[in-house]
Amino acid sequence: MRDLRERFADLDLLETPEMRNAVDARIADPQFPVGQSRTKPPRTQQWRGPLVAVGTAVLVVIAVAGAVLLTRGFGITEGPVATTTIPSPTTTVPSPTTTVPSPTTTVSSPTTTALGEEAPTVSVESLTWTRVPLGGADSEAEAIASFDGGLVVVGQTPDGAAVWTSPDGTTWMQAPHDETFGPALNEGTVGMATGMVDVAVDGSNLVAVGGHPSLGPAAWTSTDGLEWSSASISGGADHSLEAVTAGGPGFVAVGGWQVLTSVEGRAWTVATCPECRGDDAFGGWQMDVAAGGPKLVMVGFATSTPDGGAAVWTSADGLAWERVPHDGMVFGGPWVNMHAVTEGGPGFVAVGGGPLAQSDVEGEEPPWVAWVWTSADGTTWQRVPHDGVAFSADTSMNDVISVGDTLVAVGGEHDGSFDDEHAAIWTSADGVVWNRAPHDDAVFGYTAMNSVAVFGDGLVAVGDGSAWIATPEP
Amino acid sequence: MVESPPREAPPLRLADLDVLDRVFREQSPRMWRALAAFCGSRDIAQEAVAEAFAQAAGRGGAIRSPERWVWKAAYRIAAGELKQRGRVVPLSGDAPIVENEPAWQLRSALRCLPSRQRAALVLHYYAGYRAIDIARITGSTPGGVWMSLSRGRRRLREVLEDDDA
Repeated sequence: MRDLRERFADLDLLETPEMRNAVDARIADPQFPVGQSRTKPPRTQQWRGPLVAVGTAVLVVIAVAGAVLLTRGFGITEGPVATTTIPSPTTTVPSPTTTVPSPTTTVSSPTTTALGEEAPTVSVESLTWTRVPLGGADSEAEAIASFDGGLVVVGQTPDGAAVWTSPDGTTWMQAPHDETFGPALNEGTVGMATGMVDVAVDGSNLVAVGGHPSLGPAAWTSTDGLEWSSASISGGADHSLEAVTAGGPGFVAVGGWQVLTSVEGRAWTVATCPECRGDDAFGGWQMDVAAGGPKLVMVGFATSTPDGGAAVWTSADGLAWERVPHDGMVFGGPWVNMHAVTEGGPGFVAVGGGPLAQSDVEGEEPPWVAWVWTSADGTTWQRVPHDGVAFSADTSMNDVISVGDTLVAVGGEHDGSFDDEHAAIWTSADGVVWNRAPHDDAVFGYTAMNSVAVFGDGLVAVGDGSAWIATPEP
Repeated sequence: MVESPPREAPPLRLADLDVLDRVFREQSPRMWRALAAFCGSRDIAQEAVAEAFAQAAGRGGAIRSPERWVWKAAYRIAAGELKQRGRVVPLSGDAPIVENEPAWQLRSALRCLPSRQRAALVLHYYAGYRAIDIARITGSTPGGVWMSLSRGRRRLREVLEDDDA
């Protein structure tokens, strides 16, 4: 078969229409609004007031089975969709109960914050997972954290950045949208929405980060998850941020070839990271950051190293960073990247995805699988050997948290059908041996899990349009 | 104080903006072909390209990287229009790409792929963008783009092999 690049070159033979007149006619159109597209898609994610909320709740009671469809498009979603129980893993999760750090301690990962008056205990061996709708069909839930007001989820809708809160993980309410959340899809700057991609909690401070594809990085602060204020960012690159954690001088935000720090989340300045820049010979793109022990660890992937692969940076204070030397045997080659990192296992555990190394498989196209790395000190890393059962083809880990002595990773698996990816959950006692939870399509089908957090004596995970609540078996 | 331009001022033309005019001459045919392959519709592709350049012209010199900006805008306009219409196939009144064109087989195969994979493949293999650039254009993450590229490439080869058989 011909090479794909040659195939795509066939497109050069398509005859193009005359477009200059169309552009000039559009500009001359008296209705032409700068900053507004004619092709604005319909808005489906709007808060429509308490009357609609009550109506929605009534509909849910009347027809629980149709809860998802009936509540689509409203600011409130509730009602379980499906439930499954995960049996105990066979070998490697020895700790039945674990303790989560107290509310005011430094957060280990953007999505691991567990807050409450008492430190909860979580047994991940036998959790019953229930799926509930979160937002509408256009809702993209990127990250979740727990705080003393319940749960907060950040993401985006066509209206721009979006926040949902919940007291229990079952009933979700979208925070009122205003200009604080940035341009909506096809507004302000054509066709692009501002998004929130991560949220961290420190005491009563909630800090979310993200940005706009062309307007650059953005950060927001809140104390209740409902009312948010924009933060100021001085300097830095003009790319969106990818992650935030409590640590260093207060908070550290990373992504888009940059590291930013802030004491309280309201004013951000650029940290020193000469090996973060994309145009640097040793640069890379940052995807996540975690605080652990005396060190902060940032992970992502190389953008300038000829061989590519995952990349790690470390810092003692969050203000000055240096990259861990690249080792192709550990960090892999092109397409391999670390998505998330947390303190746990032997010290730190990072997860991600990428193709199996060419030496691992025969054939032209190695399968795309989940990758895991461990490190005792954040500087020296080992790749966890590939496990064909736990890390089957077309899997990728998107987030990892440490729940006491147990690690929980979430992600997705492409099922080979038209447009479907379903959620996947893994657990490990040491970061090296992992068990994959059995798949139940009714609960885990149709979308991947992007983030997971401890909540009470269970877990809550989120993905596009969905939240999953994991509670201990009675 | 800066005075606003008079309302009766003649409308701006694309040719009035040298940089944007150059980007238009260099990029618009390629942009249209990429979008036509992505959305399977000549009309949506044309409208998206025209709208993107019109919006860029309306912003004048406020755009730091016109080439990247119009690619991003055109893609997102086309994606939004596709989403609004709810399907990828040519619509009523929309002239389809005729079957004897050499790109027919590829265009048909692309229609078998999910939107994200289709966009990643077209922007990478035809438009020549890297994964990071594609992430900026599509509003995705580099990791997500890489995954879409990996899966899309595999799926596309399967479909094309079926066609070749």
